[in-house]
Amino acid sequence: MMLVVSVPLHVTLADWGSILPELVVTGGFLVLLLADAFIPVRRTEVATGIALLTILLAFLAAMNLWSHGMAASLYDTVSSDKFAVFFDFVILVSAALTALLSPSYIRYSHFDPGEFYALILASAVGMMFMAAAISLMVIFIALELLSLALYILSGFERSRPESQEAGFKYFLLSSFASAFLVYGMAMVYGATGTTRILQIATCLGHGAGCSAAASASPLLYIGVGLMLVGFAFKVSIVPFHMWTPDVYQGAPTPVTAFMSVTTKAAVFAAFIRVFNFALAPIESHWYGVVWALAIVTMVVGNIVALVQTSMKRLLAYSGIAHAGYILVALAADNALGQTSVAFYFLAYAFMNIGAFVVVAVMESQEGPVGDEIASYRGLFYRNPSLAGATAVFMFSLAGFPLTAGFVAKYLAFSAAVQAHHTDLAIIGVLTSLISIYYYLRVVYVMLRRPEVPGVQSPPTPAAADLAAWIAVAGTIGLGIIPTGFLNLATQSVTAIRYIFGLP
Amino acid sequence: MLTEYIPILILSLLAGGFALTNIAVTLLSGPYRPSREKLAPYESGMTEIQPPRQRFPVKFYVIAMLFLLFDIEGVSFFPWAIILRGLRFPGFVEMLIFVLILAVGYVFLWKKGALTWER
Amino acid sequence: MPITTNTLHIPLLTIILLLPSLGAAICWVVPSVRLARLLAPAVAIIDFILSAFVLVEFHLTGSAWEFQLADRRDWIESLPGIAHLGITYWLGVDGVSVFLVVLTGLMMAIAIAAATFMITERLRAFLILMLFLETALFGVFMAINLFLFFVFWEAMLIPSYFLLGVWGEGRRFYATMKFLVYTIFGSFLMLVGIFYLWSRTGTLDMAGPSGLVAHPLDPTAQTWVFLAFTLAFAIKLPLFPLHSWAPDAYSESPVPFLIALAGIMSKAGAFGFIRYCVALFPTAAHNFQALISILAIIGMLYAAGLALVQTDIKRLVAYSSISHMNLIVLGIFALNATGIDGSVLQMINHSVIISGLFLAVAYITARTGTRLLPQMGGLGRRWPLLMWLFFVFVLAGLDLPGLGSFSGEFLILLGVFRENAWYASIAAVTVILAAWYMIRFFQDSMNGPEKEPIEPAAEPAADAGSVYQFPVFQRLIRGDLLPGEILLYVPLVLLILYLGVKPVTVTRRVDPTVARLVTLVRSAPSPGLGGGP
Repeated sequence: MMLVVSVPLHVTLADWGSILPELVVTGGFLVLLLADAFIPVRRTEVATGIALLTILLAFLAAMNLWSHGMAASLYDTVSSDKFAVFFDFVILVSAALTALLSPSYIRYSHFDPGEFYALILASAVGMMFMAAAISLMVIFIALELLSLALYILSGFERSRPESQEAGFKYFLLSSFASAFLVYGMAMVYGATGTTRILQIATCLGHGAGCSAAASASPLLYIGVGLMLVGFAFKVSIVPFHMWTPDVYQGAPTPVTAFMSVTTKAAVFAAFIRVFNFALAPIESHWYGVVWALAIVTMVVGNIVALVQTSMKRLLAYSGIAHAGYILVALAADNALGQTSVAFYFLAYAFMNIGAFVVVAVMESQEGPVGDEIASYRGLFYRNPSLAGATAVFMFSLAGFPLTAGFVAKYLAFSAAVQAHHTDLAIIGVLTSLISIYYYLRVVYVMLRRPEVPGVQSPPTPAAADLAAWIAVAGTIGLGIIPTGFLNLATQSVTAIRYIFGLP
Repeated sequence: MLTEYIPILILSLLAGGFALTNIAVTLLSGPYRPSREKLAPYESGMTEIQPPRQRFPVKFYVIAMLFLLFDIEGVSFFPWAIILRGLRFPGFVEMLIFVLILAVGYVFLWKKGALTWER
Repeated sequence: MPITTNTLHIPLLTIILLLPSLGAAICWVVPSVRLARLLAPAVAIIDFILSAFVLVEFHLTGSAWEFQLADRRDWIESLPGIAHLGITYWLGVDGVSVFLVVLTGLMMAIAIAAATFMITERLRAFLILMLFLETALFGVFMAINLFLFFVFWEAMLIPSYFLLGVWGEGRRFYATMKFLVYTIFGSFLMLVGIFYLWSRTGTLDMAGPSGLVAHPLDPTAQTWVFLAFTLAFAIKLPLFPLHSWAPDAYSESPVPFLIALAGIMSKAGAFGFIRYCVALFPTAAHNFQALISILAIIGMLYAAGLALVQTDIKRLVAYSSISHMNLIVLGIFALNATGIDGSVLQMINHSVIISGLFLAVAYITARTGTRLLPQMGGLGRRWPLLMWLFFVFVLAGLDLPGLGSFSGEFLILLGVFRENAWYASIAAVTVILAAWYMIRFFQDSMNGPEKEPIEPAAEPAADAGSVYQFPVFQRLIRGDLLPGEILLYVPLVLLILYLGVKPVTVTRRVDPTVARLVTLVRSAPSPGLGGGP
């Protein structure tokens, strides 16, 4: 049999333009590496500046792409549809907030700013590619890119054993999950004969372009199951969540802030593309499993969070619970569900990173005990504005009205109701009820009078203060007037559904 | 379709069998009388002063890792070279960018002292 | 089918709704606490005047169930091409809510004015939170979209959490958490109900041809959603047996917040019963009439009995409040015009009386240094002015004819009597109990042998604040009522006297709305038909 080498020659400038935000961030990454090697003085400021500038440029590029995106480019591997661009926004906003909260923490724990930001940008590139990927191969490569950077970042605080443990644990378990994912992808490829998401959908939908037996092949279902495990691990869905609390607690706080939102956003974007679009024709086969995973995740995440004493562990379990709520929206498998996932991550970026800003500030002011919830005692008296911001984030994570968290959760559950999965919505609401207790316990501890009255905290570092204010503004703004951003989310979902020929 | 691979299978069997046969024959036919001197790593040299298994300095691992990295990146030149004619000029530019990225990594490593043996 | 009108052509309700929040924002940025202390009550009083203007502008038409002064704006009504969410910003007042809006304006003005001298510690934050609370309370009574209603309903809790948690007395954390856990449990079930309503009807608007009132659910579905809503409102009220958060929260609250909590927030529960439970689920309301009536009667007697044996005067007033709120529920679930009219009237009376009584508790405590009845005595001889003003509220509290609450309770009992004579007769017993505990409260504190005030500890607590904040005061008030204290009482006393003489001012306006509601209930499929619980 002859090996046929066919060389398509159609990589045009437009193709490259469709991944311009990713290219910009890659460029920023390279510049940061060089700057780190050659600039000896004031490195934290310079590195932060370069990182923020890169993010800003990438944001502008993404805004330009919003109206000029291509459904498929670079040999049908990457899409710059509005759905991808919306997640680019989420990732870039999170990266910007992380860059703002980092400097004080970098000074506190003495690590290398250049490498830190370079790795943040590198994983951001992976995340953006993951959100844009329309080929299983690219999904996997992007996932590896973002994970590799995050492994290193988790273990970045080399002097702290917890951080080393986090890096190593994350590396071992996560690569195991990657293996599941790629094995599943291989099997799906084996069954359908393609790695392109659009073609998988066509193949499973009406058997065009592949053997008619594809949708009955056991290979397909084993593959889908393995892929589900892989995705579930990356977004910490119970029972694949074991790594989350240890890694979130051990990793440096800015890293935890960043990865807790963006990894989930990127992986959920791919998750939606694969499960809600490529595998939509066989929804009846995966729905039951996702249904069970969502319920277990919401219940376990919320109940285990009740007994946490460390703020970062609490936020880790809260993150697991939120993954459950988002999974409810994914299980709904309708336009409203996809819209709500997109909006959820925008809201989550503000409220969750906001909460981590507080942890980072507390740690850089009080040392490692700043992570203990007990050390928040009397914060309302010591540092009223920081405590007020914390309260806003906690109320939002708990899903109180007038905050972004409420609108996001409301949409996710109404998607489930619209898809006639009322059971999921009810369990979601009841488990959020449990969550109120542990979120408000933090506020409650802050309200207690301090042991030593009259002591004021040192002022919050300016950049972290700015990050906290932006997060507060985002959380409340999205809660009261979500209209504009919901329209963006709506457009993004309409765009991707149009590509797949769905109403 | 799989039948095309039968010659390869036969060849591997032959190669493996040859090796196995040689080992088996020497083990079975040769005399085996071990002594302390014979089992020493250097039978006819100096006696060892410490066990040979030791921890390598981490520098070796760094170098090995860097070698691996750049080696694998280097491998991607080969498929590129095969289809370069078809890719024409844009393909050349793309490879230049790729090399540039590699070079940035290299410069970074150099400046960071990853290649310095003694510090 | 309720219709909406606005003859005024300015968004008056929106202005009233947002003014307190705006005031809160200004209070936050003004440089000094003194300025905030002047500004906050000024904003509240202006808002009260505006809300009184709502009453003036409310026209009696009588032809339909009408939401007047309506203001509708697009919020996230639909995601184009994806889903119709039915979420609109839609305000309006009907005959019931118009009075609650005015009442909110008045009571919050009094509460905020009281706060300016009763709270000394972190006053600015207190005032800001009270103003936010005022916005949420207005929103609850004005919203005619279920989503909007739920937003404000939950938003009430956020400032409440802080007001009770930071400025509360004694076991404030226990009280706060209990309060929150109870109320949020109820409201989250209501959220499930809202989801269900939306999935069945595709809208969340109350009014209009496609609104929820125009399209009732089938009886089986009504039962479940009715229960979800009822739980939320019953907890807020609090209805027996879901009341156990209330005595703790009431007795630990700072008094200005207590005026909002017992005076207005509990009425939001009763209002919810009328507006949502009865109007949206008439069949279920009919089916559950007996159950809720019996619970209300048990609650009335139980709370009145507990009020009899309390020695802590704040808890005594708290239990009397619970007892009266249960009576209001009984009136609503008479499901006839007389009973509901009486309940609305009684909501206003109760708010005024209970606020007056809680203020009296604060005044007495600030002078005697104790909340325990056995440690008081002969206060009337020392402070006659306090005694006489307190006496007005005691009389009103025990339903003396000629004072406000007599007509309300009379109408309620009359309405209940028409439904079920037994209920009415048993309910009437609470009137006797009320007289008993009120007289006992008055006798034991104002008359009898004089006792020495409990002087505060020589070493006051480090964070000791105002004289009114029990038990951390630094000093006691020696003299009779201060001018500020009297000033708070003036509008309350006038209102009690006015409503005692002319309750028809209220009932005349309430009647058309209530008539529509009763028609809805009466014309709904009769109980048992089409599958009950």
